[in-house]
This record gives sequence, C-alpha cells and structure tokens, in this order.
Amino acid sequence: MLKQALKKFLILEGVLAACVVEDGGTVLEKAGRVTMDLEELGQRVHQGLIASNSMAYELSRDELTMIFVELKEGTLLATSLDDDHILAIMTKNNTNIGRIRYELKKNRDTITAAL
Amino acid sequence: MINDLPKGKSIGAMQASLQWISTHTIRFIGAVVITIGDGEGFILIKKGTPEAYYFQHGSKVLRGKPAFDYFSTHDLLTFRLQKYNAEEYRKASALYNGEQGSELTPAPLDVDIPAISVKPAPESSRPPARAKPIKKTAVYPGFDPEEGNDTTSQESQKSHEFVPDVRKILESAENSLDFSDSISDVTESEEDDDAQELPEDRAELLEEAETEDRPIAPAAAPAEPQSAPEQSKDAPRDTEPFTTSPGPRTFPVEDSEVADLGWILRRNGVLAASVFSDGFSVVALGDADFEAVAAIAEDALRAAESIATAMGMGAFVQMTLQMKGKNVIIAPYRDTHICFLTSPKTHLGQIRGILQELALRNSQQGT
Repeated sequence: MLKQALKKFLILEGVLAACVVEDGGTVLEKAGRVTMDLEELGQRVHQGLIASNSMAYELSRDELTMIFVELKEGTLLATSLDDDHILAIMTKNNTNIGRIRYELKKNRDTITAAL
Repeated sequence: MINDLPKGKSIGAMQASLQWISTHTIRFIGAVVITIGDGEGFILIKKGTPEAYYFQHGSKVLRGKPAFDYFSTHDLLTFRLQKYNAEEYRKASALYNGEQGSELTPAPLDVDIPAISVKPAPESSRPPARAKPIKKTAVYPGFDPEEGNDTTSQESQKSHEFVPDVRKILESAENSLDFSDSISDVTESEEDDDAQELPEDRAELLEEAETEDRPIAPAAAPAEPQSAPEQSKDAPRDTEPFTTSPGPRTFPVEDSEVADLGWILRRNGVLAASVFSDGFSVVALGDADFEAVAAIAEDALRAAESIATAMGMGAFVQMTLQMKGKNVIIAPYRDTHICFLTSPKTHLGQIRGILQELALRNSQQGT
C-alpha cells in the first residue's frame, strides 16, 4: 500500500525516487531505482530535518513544513508525515517542484494512512 | 569644544543610523560630527574603534556612555565625516581628554550597552527617512535638548515619530562602497575641493588599513572575545569595535557584504539576511535574531551538505526551509554562507533567481 502510494510520485517527470524514513533514519519503504545508498541518505535526511526543525523553532517558533536541498544535478524534498516519519523525494534538476508539492499535498493522507 | 576640533579633511555629510555608521567606518580615522537639533557632538573613530563620544547642547554636555546612549536613541543621525591624519587625530583625542581634565573621571559606565549590530527597526508606515532634518528629541534620561526652548508638544510628538526608512538606509549601505557617492547635497560648498580628492583619500585609507592589524579572520579567531586595542577609557565598555556581531568572536566585515545583504533585502519578499561563518553571524540585516540562529543554521547546512554527498548529484547549491510563516534559505556565499528569510509567499523560483543574481553580482565584483 505504502509502496503504491510512493510510486505515484515516480510518474511525475524528473522524480527519481521516493522513500519514507522512520525516526532514527531507517528507510521504511522506498520506490524508484537509484544508485545512491538510500539507507545512508535516510539518516542524513533525518538529521537535516531535526536541525531544520530546531532552526524554525528558534527563528520564529514556527513549524517546519518542508525542506528543499538543491544540488547541482538534483533536488531533495523532505517533509514530516507525522512525528515519526519523513517523506523524502529525490528529483533531477529542473523538475517542476510545484507539481511535486501539489501531488504530495494530495497524497499525504493516503501515505500517512498506509504507515 | 567641537569648534576646536581639527578640521581634517571633510569626506561628506549624510544621514544614517548609528549602526550604519558603525559598520562603515572600519577604515576610517577621524571624527563623525553629529548634529541633533541645536546640539552638536562627535564620535572619534580610529579604524572602526570608537574612542570618544561627545555631545553638547547649550551648557549641557554628555560624554562617553551617556553620549553614546543619546546617539543610540536616534534612529537616524545627521552627520559629517571629518577624516584625520595621525597628528590631527592625536590632537582631537588630546582635546577630548584634556578638556575633561585629570581630576575628572570618565562618565560612569556601570550599565551594559548592547553591542552594535546591523538590525534596523522593522518597517512600518513611516515617513521618508531622508531629506528631512532630524527633530530634536529628549529621550535620554536627565537630558533634554529642548529645555529652555519654546517647542510645542506637537513638534515633540513628531520628533518621536521620525524613524528611518530601512530600505533607504540600506540603499546608502550599498552605495557606501564609495563614500563620495553618499555625499549628499547637504555637503557644504567649501568642502567641494575635498570631495574631489576623495579617491586619494580612499586609497590612503585602504593603504593604511593594509599596513595595520585587521580583525582576526574566523579561522584564526580566538575563543575569547576580542577587545578593542586602543579603546579609550571614555568609550563605552562592551561596545564592539565596529564588528556587527555581538558573538564571542569578531570577524572582518566588508562593505561589499553589507551591500550584498542590502541588495538581497530589497528583493521582493525578503525579510532579513545574514552572512554566517562557523556557526557565528558575521553580519546581519533585517528583523531577525540571527545570533541565535547561526549555530543551528550551521548544523542544518552540514546536514544538507551530507545529503549532497549521499545523493552524489553534484555540489550543494542551496537549502530552503519552508515554514508556515516564512522561508529560510541557506546557500554558499564567497568563503562563507548566507542565510536569508523570506515571506511564505516567496516561491522557489524567486529564491533561485535571487541566488543566481547574487552569484552574478559577486562574479562581476570580482572581475
């Protein structure tokens, strides 16, 4: 069920992979074919989200909704699904991020329900 | 006393906040002669280190910290810059200290002064900051420049409402790479000759700056706070020698960095911006507490860089933290990193555009 929900993102142009990371950085589920080590990436995304959450709170007692990490040849989107799970999506460069965000918003409940 | 100050070489006259002055006199040696209403005062500055604060209105005189406090209460100061050579500076310093007399003690300095940082007041519906003289205000406790004068309460009210337009000041900051550009129309005609000699002045200042110690670079910075090397006894304690961060280390702040931040801040939707290095805010503009955030931003940055390594998709370009109330962007900037806040309505395309323009701007400056 969760894998199916993640696969919906792969339909979008430029999306390479999507995964759900558990608290602690373990990859719960993944979809897509990438050469990168998703386990390692999961841990780093988890760390990144913790730091970003701290920053959001420190800056304005605000709640973090999403992070984008843009690289020269790709982009990573990460967002908290709940207190214990993070959704990470890897894309190629110049991908329509707005579309991905829209799909994410649309499918968030489905993904959360499948956890 | 002010009339007895060495005349020096007039660089120009302008309006700006005390903070702005503090961040743009790193290479300046001389007096910043400040006019507030009918009163006049000065700050003696030696390469970014304020060594004396003085203000006089009629028979009332403020020195050291009280004068600093009084200047601080004004969001915008009207001043002229008088550049001194070593001899003129020595004379000015002697005049200041001599007049005080050996029996007189410096003004009491028992209150901590907040360190100077580039943090303009938040914008609101304000009147234009420039082209208007600053009204006299009586905000320093126990000192009323209006005392004895006939002023209406309406005028007094107006004076308190007079606050600077942040964007205008930042515009000045950007132009400050060359003080001659900032010389306003209020520069006296007799100073025209001096103004023409400005390029030579600036070259001289730069030359002098290069031959003397500069603030310690981040990599070599000590863990302890750096104290001003020649700070006068009358200069307020705890006042950073014109660095823009009250953190435990001092960093050299370049005019161009302030100018770049000012440029970013004028982009649509940008609320505040900071350059940070090794977890410390080097310089910040706008309404945000970057001092507290810089260390966390460094953590977020490291996480982003490790994500970049794990993904193997090229170098780190930028990181955007999207919050409900604002966006935070962290990106490489020269040898350090830049962090800026935008409104939530600013979309990723705009952010990318700002970063690309900034990179282009820096490459053009480098050539």
